Amino acid sequence: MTDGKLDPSELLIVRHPEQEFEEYVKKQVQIHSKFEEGDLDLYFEALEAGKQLLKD
Amino acid sequence: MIILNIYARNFMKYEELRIREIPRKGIVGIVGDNESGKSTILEVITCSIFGRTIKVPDDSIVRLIHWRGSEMEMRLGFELDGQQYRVWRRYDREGGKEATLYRIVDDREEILKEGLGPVDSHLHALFPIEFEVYRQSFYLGQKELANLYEKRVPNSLELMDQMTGLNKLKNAHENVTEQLPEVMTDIIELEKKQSIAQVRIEGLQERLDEREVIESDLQRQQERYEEVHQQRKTEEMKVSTQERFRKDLQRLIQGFTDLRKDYLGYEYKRRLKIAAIRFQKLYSGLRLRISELQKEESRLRELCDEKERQFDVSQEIFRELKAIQCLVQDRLEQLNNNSQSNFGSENMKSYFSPSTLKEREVLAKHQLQEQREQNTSLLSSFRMMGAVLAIMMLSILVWVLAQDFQSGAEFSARFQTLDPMFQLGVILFTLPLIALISWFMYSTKQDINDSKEAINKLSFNLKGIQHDINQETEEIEKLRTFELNRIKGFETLADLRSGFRYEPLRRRLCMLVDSFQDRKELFQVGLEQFRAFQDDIQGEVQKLKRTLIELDHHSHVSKQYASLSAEIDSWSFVDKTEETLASEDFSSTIFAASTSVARLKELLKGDFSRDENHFVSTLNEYNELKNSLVSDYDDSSLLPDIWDKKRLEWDWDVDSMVDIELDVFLDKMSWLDDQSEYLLNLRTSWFEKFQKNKESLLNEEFDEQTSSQRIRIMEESISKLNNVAQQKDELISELEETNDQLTETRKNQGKLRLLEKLFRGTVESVQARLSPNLARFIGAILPEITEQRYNRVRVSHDLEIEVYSPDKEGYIDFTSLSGGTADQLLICLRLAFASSLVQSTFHESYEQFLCLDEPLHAFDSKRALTFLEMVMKFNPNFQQVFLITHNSNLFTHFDSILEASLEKSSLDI
Repeated sequence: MTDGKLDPSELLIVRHPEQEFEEYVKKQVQIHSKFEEGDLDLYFEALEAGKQLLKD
Repeated sequence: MIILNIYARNFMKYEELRIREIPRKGIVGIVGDNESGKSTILEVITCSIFGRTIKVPDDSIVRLIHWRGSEMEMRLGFELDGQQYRVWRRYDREGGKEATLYRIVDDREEILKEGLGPVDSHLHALFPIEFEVYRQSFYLGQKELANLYEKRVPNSLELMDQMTGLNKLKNAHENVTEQLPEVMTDIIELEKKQSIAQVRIEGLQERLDEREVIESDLQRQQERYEEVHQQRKTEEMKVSTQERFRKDLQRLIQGFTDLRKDYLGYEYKRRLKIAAIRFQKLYSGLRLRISELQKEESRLRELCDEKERQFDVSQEIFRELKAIQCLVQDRLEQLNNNSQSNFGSENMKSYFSPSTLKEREVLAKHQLQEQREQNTSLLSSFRMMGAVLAIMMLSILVWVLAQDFQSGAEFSARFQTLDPMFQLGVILFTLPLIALISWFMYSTKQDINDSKEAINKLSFNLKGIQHDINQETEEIEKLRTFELNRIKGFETLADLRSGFRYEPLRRRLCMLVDSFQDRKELFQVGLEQFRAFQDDIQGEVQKLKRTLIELDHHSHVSKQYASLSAEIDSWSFVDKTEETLASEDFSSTIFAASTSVARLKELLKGDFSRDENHFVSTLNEYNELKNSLVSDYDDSSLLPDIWDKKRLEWDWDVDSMVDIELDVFLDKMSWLDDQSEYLLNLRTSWFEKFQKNKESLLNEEFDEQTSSQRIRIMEESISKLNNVAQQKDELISELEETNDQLTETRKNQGKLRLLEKLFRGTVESVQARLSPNLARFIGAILPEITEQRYNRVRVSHDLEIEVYSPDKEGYIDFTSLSGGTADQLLICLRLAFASSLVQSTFHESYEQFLCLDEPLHAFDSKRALTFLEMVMKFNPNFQQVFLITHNSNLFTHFDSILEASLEKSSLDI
C-alpha cells in the first residue's frame, strides 16, 4: 500500500482469459530458442485460433 | 452495471416502492428497523435482473406477491457500458409472466425484447453472469458469507472457475482436446480414401490398356458387317419377288375357286329346279294321303265313342243290381233285429217302447198275464161280496121268519115297538151297507167284463205278433238264400206279405230285373262287339301312329320344301302348276330328290346365286390373271392349263338340262377338285421354297444383327473406356484434392495439438498464480481492516486459508481465528472473487454495483469505518455499493441513505 491507496498490481488476481492465453503463448515463443520452418507461423495461427475460441 | 432507479409494486413487503436517481458512485446506505424492507430493495434489483431472488427459488416466485395484491411488477433502470436500459417484469398468482427490455435513447424507451425468455436471453448477453456466480460475488450477504469457503454451495469449484475465468480456458482446452480425435479420424479417413483412389486408378489404367485391342476388333467387325449387309439385301430382293409371286398365285387360286363356285352354282340351279318339280308332285300326293288318314281316324274315334256309351249303360245296370243287393242286406238285417229282444234286461226303455217284434211279443205276453191275474182277482172280489150280501139277506130273512110276522102291518107294528134309536140305527146302517155292497158288486162286474175284453184283445194281439214273427222267420230264410241270378224269386215276396213296406221295393225290383234281363243280353252282345272293335281300333291306332310318324317326316320334308320353294320363287323361273304336281310315284323318288338337293347344297355351300353371265366373266378374269402370271414370272411355267373347255362343255339348253345326270356333274366336280388340289399343292411347294429363302434371309439378317450387335458392344466398350478414362481423370483430381485435404488436416492437427498444449499451459499457469494472487489480494486488504494485526495470508489450491500470527510467529489455521476476524477474512475472500470476476469477464473500465447485506455485524465501529473506506478504493470497478446496516455511526459516511420504515408499505424516494 502506498499513500493510503492499494497497489493495483497487488489487486490483480487474474486477467481476462484471452489476455492470459496471449501472454502465455508469447512467453512460450520467447522460451523457444529455435524454430523450424513454419513453426512460428503455427504458433501465431494457434494464438489467433485460441483467441477466437475464447471469444466464442 | 450501475443501478439508476428502482420501482416495484406489490413486491414482498412493499405495495409500492419507488427509488429515483440513485447515485452512480459512492455508498448507498439502506437503513431501518428489522423487517422494514431493507433486503427487499436488494431483492428487487436481483429479481429484475435474473427473474428470481436470493431467498425464494424461481419456481415459487408468486410467493413474493404482496398479500393484498393479485399481481406484482418491478422495473429497474440501469446503465451498462454507457448505455441505459430498463427492464420490466410482471407476475400474477395464476402463473402469468411478462417481461420487456427497453433501451433508453434520448430519454425515450425503445423496446429491445418482449417476453420472459427473450428478455432473459438478452439480459444474459449484456450481463453474462450466472445467478449463482452473482450470488457468490456481487451480492455479499451475511448468511452467504462462508458458503464458498466451506463448500456449502453445490459445484463451488466450478463457480470459482467461472469467477476467475478459468472455466473459459478449461472449456476451450476441452473443446480442442475433443477435436483432436475427430481430426485424427479425418486423417485416417482421408488416408483410406487416398489409398482407395490409388488402387482404383491403377485398376482403371489396366482397363484402359485393353482399348487398342478392342479398336482393332471393331474395325474388323465393321468390314464383316458391310459384307453381310450386302448379302442380306440380295436375299431380301429374292424373298420380295417370291412374296409377290406367292400373292399373285394366291389370287389365281382364289379366282379359280370363284370360277368353280360359279360353275357349281349355275349347275345347282338347274338341278334344283328339277328337284323342286319332283318334290311338289310328291307333296301333293302326300297331302291327299294325309287327308284320307285323318278321315279314317275320325271314323274310328266315333266308333270308339259309341262303344264307350254302350259300356256306360251296362255299368249303370250293374250298379242298380248292386243297390238291390244292398236293400236285401238291409232288410235281412232289419229282420234279424226283429227276432232279437232285450225285454226284461236292464234296458227299461224297451219296456215302454218296444222296437222289435220279439220285444212286442214279450210285452204282449206280459200284459196278457197281468190282465188275467187282474180278472181272477176281480172275480174273487165279486164272489166274496155276493156271499156277504147273501148272508146278510139270509140273516134278515131268517129273523123275519123267526118273528112270524103275519103281515106287513104286523112287521111295521112290531118294528115300531122297537126303540126308536134302534129303528133309526137299523135303517141307517143296513140300507147303505146293502147299497154299497151292491154298488161294489156292480162295479166289479163291469171291471171283470172290461178285463175279459182286454184279455181277448191282448190275446189277439199276441197272436198277430207271433204271426208276424213266423212270417219274418220265413222271410229271413228266403232272403238268406237270395242271389242276383234268382232275382225273379223276389216275386214270392209279394206272397209272403202284402204289407206296404215291400210293395215299392218289389215293384222296383221287378222293373229292374226286367230291365236287367233285357240289357244283360244287349250287354253281352255289345261286349262281344266291343272287344272285336277294340282289336280293330288297336290295329287302326298302330297304323295311325305309323302314319303320324310318316306325317312328321313329311312335315319336315315339307318345311325343306317350303324353304326351297321360297328360294326357287326368288329365282322366278320355276313354274308351279297343278299339272306338274299331278303325277304319281312320289314315295320312291321324294327321298332321292331331297338327298340330291342336300348333296348339291353341301357341295356348293349355298353359293348359287350367280348366273351364266357372271360365270363367263369370272372365267375371262381367271384366264387374264393366268396369262399375266405366266408373262410376269419365269418360274410360272409350271402353272397348268386348268380350264379345259372341251372337257367341261355342257348343254346350255335349259330344257335338255334335265337329262344330265348327277354322276356326270359329280365327275366334272371331281376334276375341278383335282385341279384345285394341284394348285394348292403348287402353292404349298412354292411356299416351302419361299420359306427356305426366307430362312436364309433370316440367317443373313441374324448375321447382320449379330455383327451390328458386336459393333455396338465394342462401341459401348470404347464408350465405357472413355468413361473409364474420364473416371480416372476425376479420380486423379479427387486424389490430389484428398492429398491437399490430408496436408491441411495434418497441419490442423499440429495446430490443434499446439493449441491444446498452449491452453493446458495457460490453465496451469493461471491455476498456479491464482492462490498466490488471492493471498496477495487478501493480504493487501486484511491489515487495513484488522488494524495491522494480520498482514500475511496463505491460500492453498483447495481454498484452505492460513493466516500469519505475529504472536505465534507462524501461520495459523483459519479455524483458530476469532469469529469476527474470520468473518473479516471471508469478506476479503468474497471481495477478491468479485474482483477477479470483473477482471476475467469485463474490461478494465467496467463499472459494477455491489450489494452488501449487513456484512459489518462482526465489525466494531472503527474497523467498520476502515472497511467502508477500503471498499470504495480497493477496486475502481466497484463504483456503486448498496450497504444495509444498523450501525448508525456509519450513516454520516454514506453518500446517500435509503431509510425503510416498519410502518409504511410504500417507499418513494
